[in-house]
Amino acid sequence: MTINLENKELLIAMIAGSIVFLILAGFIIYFMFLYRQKQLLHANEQKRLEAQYQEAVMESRMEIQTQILQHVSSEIHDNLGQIASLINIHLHTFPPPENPQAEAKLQESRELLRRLTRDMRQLSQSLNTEHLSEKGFFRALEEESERIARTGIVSVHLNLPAPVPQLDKNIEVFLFRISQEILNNMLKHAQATEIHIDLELQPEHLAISFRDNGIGFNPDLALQEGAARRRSGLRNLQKRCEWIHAGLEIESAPGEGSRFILKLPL
Amino acid sequence: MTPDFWIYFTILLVSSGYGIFHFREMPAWLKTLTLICILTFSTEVLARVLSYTIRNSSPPYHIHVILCYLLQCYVYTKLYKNIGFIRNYAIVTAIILCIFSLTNSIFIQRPLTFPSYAILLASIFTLILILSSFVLMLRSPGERPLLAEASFWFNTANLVLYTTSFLYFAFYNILIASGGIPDVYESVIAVFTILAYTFYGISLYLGNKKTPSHDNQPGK
Repeated sequence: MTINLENKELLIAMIAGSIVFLILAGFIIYFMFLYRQKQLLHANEQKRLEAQYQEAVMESRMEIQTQILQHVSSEIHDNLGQIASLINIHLHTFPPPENPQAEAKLQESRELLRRLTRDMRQLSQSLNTEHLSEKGFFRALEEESERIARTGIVSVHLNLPAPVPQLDKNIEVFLFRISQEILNNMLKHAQATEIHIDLELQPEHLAISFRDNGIGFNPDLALQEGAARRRSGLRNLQKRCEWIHAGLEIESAPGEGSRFILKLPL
Repeated sequence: MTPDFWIYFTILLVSSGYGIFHFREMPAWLKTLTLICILTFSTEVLARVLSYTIRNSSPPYHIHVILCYLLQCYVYTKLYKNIGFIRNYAIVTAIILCIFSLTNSIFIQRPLTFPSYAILLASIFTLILILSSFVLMLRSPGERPLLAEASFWFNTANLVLYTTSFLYFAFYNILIASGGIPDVYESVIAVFTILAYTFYGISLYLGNKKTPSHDNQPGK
């Protein structure tokens, strides 16, 4: 009877031990599964936070840029504009010269001053975000094209869609700044003589193409070099496009000009 | 001595040897883990020597249980530097275990008796540390796969080792009363102990690798 009881206790001990060890193995397997899930969640969360951080950085950079541009715009309008107006008054108060050559020079100076005032006003307007959002992207792009064409460095051909779509004011400002950046890059680096801007309205997106006949470049190399130097106009462009959920394709090769295609979902 | 004992002895020797060889490059917690392996190895050697000389292997285990728990606590406080709970828990339980072990060794299970009560208490305390550590690992998962994390292997080794100890000593009296510890039970315990020290070895190896690890981050 005693032996039976002892054997029974032993059996219980063995069974309990086996159960606990099975639980142990199950626990470790379950932990591994749970850990993997947590790792994925954690990675997603990190990605989200990274994107949020990038957006915040972009937003503050845009804000700083807007403020600087606003300041430059006011300086052009209030300060330089005032000086130009004073020069204009002085020129008009000049007694008419008797020498026809001097008269022609005076007329030419007045004309040059008139052009300078107009260009300054337009530059001031293109830098002013408030003015820009009042005017709208398409009108602003038209004026910007005219302004660049007037420099005489390149000829600009702008092709707007017949009915222009209605866009969000903030997106319009972003689009204009992106367009300005692309056009400035073309002016600074491309050594182009012609720039074509084509806007095409698709059912799902607005495609804006900027094409030049300049020296071209290797987009991958430019991105890599920019990343290495921790500053890149191209990367900035891509970031700005991401900000408004637009796609940016860059097609270029040395000696073959360049093409920037921006696709904004509608 | 049985073959499983020799395997256990060899693994202990290899793990300790690896730890000693790479001691300088290791983070603090792995140095402590090496010390645990050396301590266990020394205890086992001393116990075998004493079993031949005085026919009793129990005395070294009275010291081993205290030192080993203190080292375990040190490992966990180093692994989770910024977790106040681990630090406080380790300090409180270390004091309790020291007092209990000394009392046990003086009044209840004297040096010539195996300190099963102290080991049982140490197992319970360590199991709580292990489970807390698993929870903390889940709270801040690393980027590397779990099987490449040294702390996971260390925790798993401890879980296996201390669950085995806990079960062994929880049923110790029943087994002794039923006419001694059966061979099959001893073999199962031996297998799990071998497994645990193999995991310690893996942990030492992974933690010592030069690649940046989740385990070696400050505050972890």
